[in-house]
Amino acid sequence: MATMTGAGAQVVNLRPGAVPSSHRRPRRHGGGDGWAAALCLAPALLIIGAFVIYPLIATGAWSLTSWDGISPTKTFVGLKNYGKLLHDADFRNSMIVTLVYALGVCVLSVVTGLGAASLLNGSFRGRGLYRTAFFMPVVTSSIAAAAVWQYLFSSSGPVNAALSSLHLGAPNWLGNPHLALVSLTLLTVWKQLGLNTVLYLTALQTIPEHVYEAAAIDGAGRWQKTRRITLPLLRPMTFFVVVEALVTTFQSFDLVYQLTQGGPLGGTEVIGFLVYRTAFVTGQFGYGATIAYAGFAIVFAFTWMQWRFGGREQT
Amino acid sequence: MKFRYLGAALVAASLLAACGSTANPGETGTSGSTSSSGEASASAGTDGSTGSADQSPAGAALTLWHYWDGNNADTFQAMVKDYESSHAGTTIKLVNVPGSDLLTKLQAAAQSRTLPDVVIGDLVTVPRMAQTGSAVDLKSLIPDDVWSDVYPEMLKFGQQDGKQVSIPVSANTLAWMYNKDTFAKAGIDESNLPTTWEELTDACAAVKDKTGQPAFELFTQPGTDGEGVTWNFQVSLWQAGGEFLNKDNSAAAFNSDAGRKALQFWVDLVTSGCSPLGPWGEFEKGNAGSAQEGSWMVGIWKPQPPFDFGTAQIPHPADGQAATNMGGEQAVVFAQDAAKQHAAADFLTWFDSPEQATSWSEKTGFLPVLKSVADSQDYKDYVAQNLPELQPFVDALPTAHARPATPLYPQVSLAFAKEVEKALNGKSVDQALADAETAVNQILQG
Repeated sequence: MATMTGAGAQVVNLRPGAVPSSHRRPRRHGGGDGWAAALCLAPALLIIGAFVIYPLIATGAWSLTSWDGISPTKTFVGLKNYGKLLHDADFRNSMIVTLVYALGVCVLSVVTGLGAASLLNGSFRGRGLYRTAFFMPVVTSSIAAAAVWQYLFSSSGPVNAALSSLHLGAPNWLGNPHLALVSLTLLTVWKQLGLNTVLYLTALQTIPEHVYEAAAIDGAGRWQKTRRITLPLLRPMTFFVVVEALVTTFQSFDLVYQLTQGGPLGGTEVIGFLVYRTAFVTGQFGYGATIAYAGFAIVFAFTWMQWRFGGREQT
Repeated sequence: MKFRYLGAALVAASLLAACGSTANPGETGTSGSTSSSGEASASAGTDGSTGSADQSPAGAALTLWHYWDGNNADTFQAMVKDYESSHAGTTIKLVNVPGSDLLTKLQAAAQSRTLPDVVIGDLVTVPRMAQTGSAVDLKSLIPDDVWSDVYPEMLKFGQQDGKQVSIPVSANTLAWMYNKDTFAKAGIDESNLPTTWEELTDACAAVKDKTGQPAFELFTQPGTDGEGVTWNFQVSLWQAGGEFLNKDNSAAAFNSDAGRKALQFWVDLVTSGCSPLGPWGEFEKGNAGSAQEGSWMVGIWKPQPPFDFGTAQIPHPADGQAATNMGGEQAVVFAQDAAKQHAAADFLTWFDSPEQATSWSEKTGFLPVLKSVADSQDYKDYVAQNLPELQPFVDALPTAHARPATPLYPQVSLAFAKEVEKALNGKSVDQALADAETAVNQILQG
């Protein structure tokens, strides 16, 4: 399916082995080929090894220790940290917060991404300008963006000024745990909007015009075209956007760090922030690694789902 | 075209391969020069500390990490230059590491055995730094007359198994800062400021009535590390006669009558609207009448005050006592080489001499770590003439308490702050303190 190649291609690119296929190259001398291939691969393997494989293994090893991050010795404690995880109220709270956050971001990402893409898919004056504007938040530094939103949502900030001028009250956005999570969700969706819009735009533009024309001849109206053609053909992209949003939320740290620092009352203590706080702020590296692994397991499960789903769609 | 590029790539690759094959069996010299020299000095260091140490203070090349910036960094650098020119043979390379990165960088350096010779960091992190196992006992390296002149509470941060692994180099305290305009509007006379919690509560009503503002901003959200809440609350706890942890830092001590009194005071301030409940900073923005603030704020605000501000002692319970909390920086020596240890100790002794300490305090606005400096006429005159707002902070020094010196303190502080936040949001004071006690004891007793 045409729309799937976007997501599918990304998946393929992740495999470094796919890049230099030796049989296409003319053989210059006997055994040199394997060496050359190994050499070409070496930088990539080195980088992946140092920044992906090693941290993965080291974190796994640390999660079995009570290491404080600074002592020369690391005491092996077996699965004690994982046992602690099961009874840790902070971790439980963090899982709930992260799941609610993930759900909110997923739903809103799809709605806003698709909405914006539909608007920008038409032809009108200044289309390029609008597309650029929508993409701006994606390339803005997270800390700067969150700092601006912190100001917007502060109790005497512009959002409340606008709301109270409409007699809609002045909610304490960052002082109430539930509203703080709403604020964080909105910020995240806004930050990702440009990316989701571009993804949906590509998907929309790969739907051939003749499909719609054929439907029109069969007497399909505007609503039927949307429901029977556009939405089904966008499904793979929607799934990609959803998984992408899930991964983003489970790894979210920078926006929380700047906007709410996990508060108030732990209302925005998402798992990425909990890991940082546990390992780096309170000096529990071993336990922080354990929480990171729990988060990794969940992200891994979602990524696996993405692969599986993608594969099924293509066949 | 493609072929040509491919050919070039292959040639380049085989060249690289050739280099690799000759370099591999040979010396590891050039490629790892920085790390191997680091290793070398580290291993030499261990030899020096265990074996026969050279006692001659001949000077050495030192590396020193600190996180001061702006005027503080400039002043420090000028003092170091001054020291170098009068102490031939010793050079001090200053490395500025942002405060938030210092401990992380130190962790990495400890792992790769590339610790700097001296680190000047926040006093509360000294026990964490000592966990590297490489912090040097400074007791015998620095003369007794320095140790006896430093405020004893400050020395607690570096006391460990009979050793003294840090020396204070700067200090600050908390005192009360208020917005003069707001208090004037509320009819609070500067010569008759509230000195007790009871009087403060009355003042709250007046400020609320006349200006609509909260009168006294508390630190109500733990933020990233909880310490903003905890170290401010400790002041109220000590004022009420309580203690935070027991003597040997093995159990919580705040679940007491004093603890309940202090937390109830905080809860009452929030429920009565005397303190806002939300992110810290309303007083600094001019939206609250007063707050407990650090002495560094005087230096920050003095050149361009956001509003007319005054300072005073923090009100305490009528039947309680004056108390404040103490911050500042302390130096830890990691050098394992005897010559470097002596050079570092010599520099720190010089830095903490009355003459240098006075100039350092006057130029930076840091409070003196030496009793003799705080009590000297020179320093008193300087403060009276140039920084009168600093006086209450200096006066508070003798009543300043030290926070518990344990590497587990960051965990304790965050766990405690979370319960204070819950109490301020409706949880009962008794329950919050009991839960905080359980959490803290779990941390301290493993």
